[in-house]
Parts: sequence; structure tokens; C-alpha cells
Amino acid sequence: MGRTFHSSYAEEMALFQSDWARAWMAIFLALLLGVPALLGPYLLSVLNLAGVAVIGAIGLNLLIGTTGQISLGHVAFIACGGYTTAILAERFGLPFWLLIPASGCVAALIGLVVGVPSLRLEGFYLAMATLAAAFIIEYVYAHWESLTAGTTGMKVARPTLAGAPLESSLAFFYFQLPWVIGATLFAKNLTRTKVGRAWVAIRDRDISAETLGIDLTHYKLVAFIVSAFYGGVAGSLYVYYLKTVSPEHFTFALMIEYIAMLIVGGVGSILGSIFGAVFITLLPEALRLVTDLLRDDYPVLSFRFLYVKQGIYGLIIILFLLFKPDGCFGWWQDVKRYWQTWPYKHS
Amino acid sequence: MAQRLKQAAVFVGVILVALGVSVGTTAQAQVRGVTDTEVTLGVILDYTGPYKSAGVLITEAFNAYWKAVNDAGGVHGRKVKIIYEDNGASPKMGLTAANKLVYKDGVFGILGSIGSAATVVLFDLVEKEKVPMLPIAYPRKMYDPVKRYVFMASAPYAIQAARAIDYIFDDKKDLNAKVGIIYQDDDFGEDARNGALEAMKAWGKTPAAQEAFPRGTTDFRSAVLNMKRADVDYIIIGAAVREAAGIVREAKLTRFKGQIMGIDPSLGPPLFSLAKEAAEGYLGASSFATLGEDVPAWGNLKAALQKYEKKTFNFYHVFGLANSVVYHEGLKRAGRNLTPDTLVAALESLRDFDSGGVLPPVTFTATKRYASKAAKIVRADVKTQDFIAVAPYQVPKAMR
Repeated sequence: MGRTFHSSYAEEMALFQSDWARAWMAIFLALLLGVPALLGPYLLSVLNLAGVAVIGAIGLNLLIGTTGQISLGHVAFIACGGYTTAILAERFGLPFWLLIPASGCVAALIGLVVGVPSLRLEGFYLAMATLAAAFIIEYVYAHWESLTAGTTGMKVARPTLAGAPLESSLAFFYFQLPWVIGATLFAKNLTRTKVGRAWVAIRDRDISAETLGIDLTHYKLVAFIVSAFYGGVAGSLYVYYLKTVSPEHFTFALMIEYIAMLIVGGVGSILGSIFGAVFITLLPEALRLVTDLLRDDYPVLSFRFLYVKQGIYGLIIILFLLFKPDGCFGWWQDVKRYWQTWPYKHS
Repeated sequence: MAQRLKQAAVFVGVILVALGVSVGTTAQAQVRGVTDTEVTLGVILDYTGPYKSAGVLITEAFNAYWKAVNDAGGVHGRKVKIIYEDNGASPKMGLTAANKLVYKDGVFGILGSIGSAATVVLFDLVEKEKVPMLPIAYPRKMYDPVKRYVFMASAPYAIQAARAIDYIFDDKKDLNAKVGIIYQDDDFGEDARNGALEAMKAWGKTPAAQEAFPRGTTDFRSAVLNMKRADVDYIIIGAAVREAAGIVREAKLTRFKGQIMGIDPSLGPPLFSLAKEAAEGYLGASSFATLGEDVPAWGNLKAALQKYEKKTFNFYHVFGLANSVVYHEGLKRAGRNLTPDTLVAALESLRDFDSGGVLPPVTFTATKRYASKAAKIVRADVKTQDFIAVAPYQVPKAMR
């Protein structure tokens, strides 16, 4: 049975709090390293996109879920990161180890500017302000033709490692994995620091937080900067993987997807961000699978399913909102609690 | 403890078996997607995004066309099987769809892929895995430089817009005409604008005014008023049918006296339902047969749509028909020994191929991957709800 109490601060602060947790994490990492080698390029391409989504969703969750700052501008940060990588890679041939952090930094800088309205606005008004900022940013990259090639878009070469381009989906998976793990661990630790606790205090009641001495201006802007940095890194990896960039890569539909990831995964949870990102990325593929299963025996039904599958997508989100508002993370917590008290039932 | 370990082992086992099943489905045939009795092709259309209405209609055309081909014995004894996937006009959904089609379903080629960004993102995969494809996206830049396995069954938007300009200065000899351009600020609208500018340059002209609008715009008053202010005689529109109808309507409301001209995506029946009588006299440069034209390809498709899909004919079926006719001819010419390279050679052998009237004469070469450089001019006729040809297929001066 896992430990349910702590006898020292070190134990309480440990990232993985029991031998069981550490063992499961080791098994998970081993699977993460071993299983992809057995997968075909199709499933790997889905996993690669899920990896990008994990980083982007964690960034958005830090802002919305942890700090309580509603943002509809995250896709603009992802675009900033993507375009930074594309422009600097194609014009100056800079290496990925410089470009990925640089893309995060450029997005963070934009995040700082976009975050300024958060000092005076909140809730619906902040959502509208961030959405407006996203439209302005979109206008810039869609029309600054000399820099971004406008609506035509740009080609981006895959990153190279030891002189060899990471062309295969498998190579890209192993290239991307450390960034995903690093982003997850950093976010997990960040939420346990003074900054993270200040964010939670702001989310729960900003006036009380200010009364306690938390500098709202500072911490809200830091939240925007960190969130945008994550978006920038996600955008960089996204563009590296797709090998192209254009305004059509960063539509409002993508923003909705990220919001859906938070709702389905669990708002305010790093693990929930991962669940949500993986779920939302896999969902269209699962729907493709259903279409395939129906195709030979029920071709008409298969076509109908092809057309209505977006409705199913929406329905799943509504069902989560109604019946599982804490998302997949809530289920995870339920399962954890069940095992912690097993064989006794908990209430 | 032992029981829980056992449960965990079963759980991991189930995952590995599931993964194994998916790995097993990637088995390859000698030529991917080709057996003695069947050729499997993929189609990636938009069923859930901005082009979903076109996606549904193009699917009907593909279904009807290839069911008729299969009922007639297939191509060299092989039936054609089509697997449809959705891209939602999104690059990432398009790429995963193509990965699935190529690596999981093992298709031989891609019969259609809609949306520019969602199609461009496939090119590396298509070239690497030798997947002959015909996109349903016509910006010229997509095909330059040439990709060995990518062909376009149309003339690019740029050429259509250039033909519209030639109609003014060549067919009408209106050499003093002032021309304005209203275009959607995406790759499709920009391509039309660039073609118009190129054509005007060839005639030693410059536009009197240019107005861009974002996709989804519904109010065109300021754009049209700016055209009036610049006193233009002709407005060239780089837009799809809904936006073109909006501009035409606005032009009538503001009493614009000049001539409005568009390109293929603006020439569908919705122009008449959206613009009503304001559509009368609207001109368009087109590289496809119009609905009312009596061409053999139309007749065959109409019959097939009725027989297999129980559907009536719609203009958007033309995109599915054009791709099908060209791919079909390629498969026929490639012969029984079908490989991606024999298909490419077959398509490159097309010289002024008669597509049954659905396209201008089709020619592909090693350095030109779009079917034609020609477009004709058609006029909207509200009475018949159709477009009537007023000037023949011609290659614009700038593109000769």
C-alpha cells in the first residue's frame, strides 16, 4: 500500500511520494522509451503531435488553471514560437538547441505585453482582451510578408542531430521527449514554489492574496510570461514537426482545442494537462478508427459518422463539463484514492 | 500485493497486445496499395471545417465516378477502392490523415486533398513515400518548384485572374480601363491578386486600387466604395462565392457602374441565391466546364450520381470529377504494371488530353504540374441560374 502520511518535510516535498509512485513512474518511462520503437509512423505522428500539445496545454493550464487568468490568446504565443523558429532557422540556419529556447523567449516577451491588460481586467473582459491581442498578432504574421512570407507560409527543415536531420517520426519522438519531460517537471516544481503558491492564491481570491502581500502585478505578468514561453516552445516543436508554417496552422479552432484539453484533462492540474492533451489529440484518431471499423460492413453509416464526428467531439466536451468537471484528472484521483484505501471503500 | 501486481501485468499486457495489433496493420504489399484485383486510393477532404459543404459534395462525385468505373470492370482488371479521411482544413489533421492512409491503410495514391496549408504539409511525405496525388488546392506557388508526385487537375488561381485581365485588355480591347482588385488576404486570394498584377504588368498597366479583406468578412461596403473613389472600370475579385456575392450585392447597392470579374471559386450556384439579380452579368475566369455546358463528362457524372448516390448534379462536384478523370487516365495509361513511377510517367505523357470537356486540354510535363495554363470567361445568367461562356479558353499573355 502506498504511504498516506509523511514523517519529514523532505518526504512531503518529494515529487514522487512513495516507492509505488516511483516504481510506476519508472515503468511508465521505460514504456515511453521502449514502446514507440514498436509503433508505425502513423501512431508515432499522433504521439508527436500529442507531445507538442502536452507542452502547450501545460503552459495554458498554468495561466488559466493555476493563476485563474482566462486567456484566449494562447494560440498567438504558439504562433510566435513557430514563426521565430521558422524565420531564424531558414534565414540564419541556427541550431535547434538555440532556437527552441529562443522561440520560447520571443513568445514570453509577447506574453509580457499581452499580459498587461490582466492587471486591470479579469474574467470575460480579460478573455476578450487576450483574444483581441491574438487577432492583432495574427494580423502581423499574416501580413508581414518580407519576414513571414505572409499567407504563403514557409518551409522549415527538421532539426539535425550530429549532422543528420531527424526525418523519421521515431527520431523526432525521441528528440521531442526530453523537452516534454523537462517542461512537465519544471511546471510541476514551479507550482510547488513560492511563485506557484502565489498564483494559486491569486486564482482563489486576488484581493486576499494582495492583502497577504502578494504582488499581483508581478505574479500575473510572470504567469503570462511562463505560459507564453511554454506556448513558444510548443510552437517551435510544432513547426519543426510539420516542416511548414503558415497562418492556417494557428487558427481559432486550435485555440478551442487547447481550451478543450484543459476542460477534458482537468483545470489547474499538470497531470490533467497531459491527460487532456493526449485525449484531445487521440480523439480524432479514435473517431477515424470507428469510421474504419464501419467502412466495410456499414459504408453508409461510416460516411454519416465521418460527417457527424465533430458533433461527437463537442458532445464529449459537454458531457465532461456536466458530469466530470474535474476532467480526466478527477478520474485519476478517484482511482488513486481507491487503491490507497483498498480493500476498504472510501467515501 | 500479488494480486495487484498481477492486475498491473494484465493491464500492461493488454496495452502491448493493442499496440501489436496496430503494428501488424502496417504490413506492405509489393507495390503499396496495389493487388491483382484492387487499387486503394486515399482522399483527404474537409468534413468538419470551413470547407465541409464542398467536402461532402466532392465525396459524392468521387463515389459516383469510381463506382461506375468499378461496375464497368475497373482499371486493367483492378477495382478502385477509396478511403476517405477528414482534415478539417487543418495542417496537423491533414498530416495525421496522410500518415494513416500511407502507413496504416497502405494506399497507392491520394486522389484529392483539400485546403492549401493542409495539403502543402503532405508534400514531404508524398515525395518520400512516392504517393502520387492530385490536390484540390490551386495556388500556383504550391506547385513551384515541381514535386514529382504532385499534379493539379486545373489551372492555378493566378492564371484565372490573369485571364480576366486579358479579357479586358485583349478580348475587349479596353486599353484605357482602370482596374481595381479586391482579394481575400489568404494564400488563395493572394494567388489571384498576384496573377492579376502579373498580367497587368505584361500589358504595361498598374491597378488603380487594391483592397484586402480577411476570410469570413461579410461587409464589403468600404472596399467597394474605395473602388468607386478610385473610379475603376473593372473590379477583379480574388474570393470564394459567398464573398463574391457580398461584393456584387454591395456594388449594386452603391450603384457601381463598372464590371465585376471573379475566378473559379466564385462561380458556384450560391452566387445566384446569395446575390439574386445583382449577379446578372457577373463575369468569371474559369478552368472548368460550367454546369449548363453539354460536355460528355458531365453527362456521365450526372447519370452516375443519380444511379449510385441518388443525388442531383451540383457545381462543386466538378472538383471531384476533374481529379477523377485525370487520375483515371493516368491509371489507364500506366497499364497493368502499376507503380508510382509508371503512373507519374503516364501523367507526364498527357498532351492536350481531352477530359470529356470538364477541363481545358490537359498537358503535364516534367516541369509543369498543373493541367492547363488556359481559362475561359463566363457570364452569370440569372434567368437560367448558370454561367454562359463568352470568351474561349486562352493562355494569358503573361503566362505564355
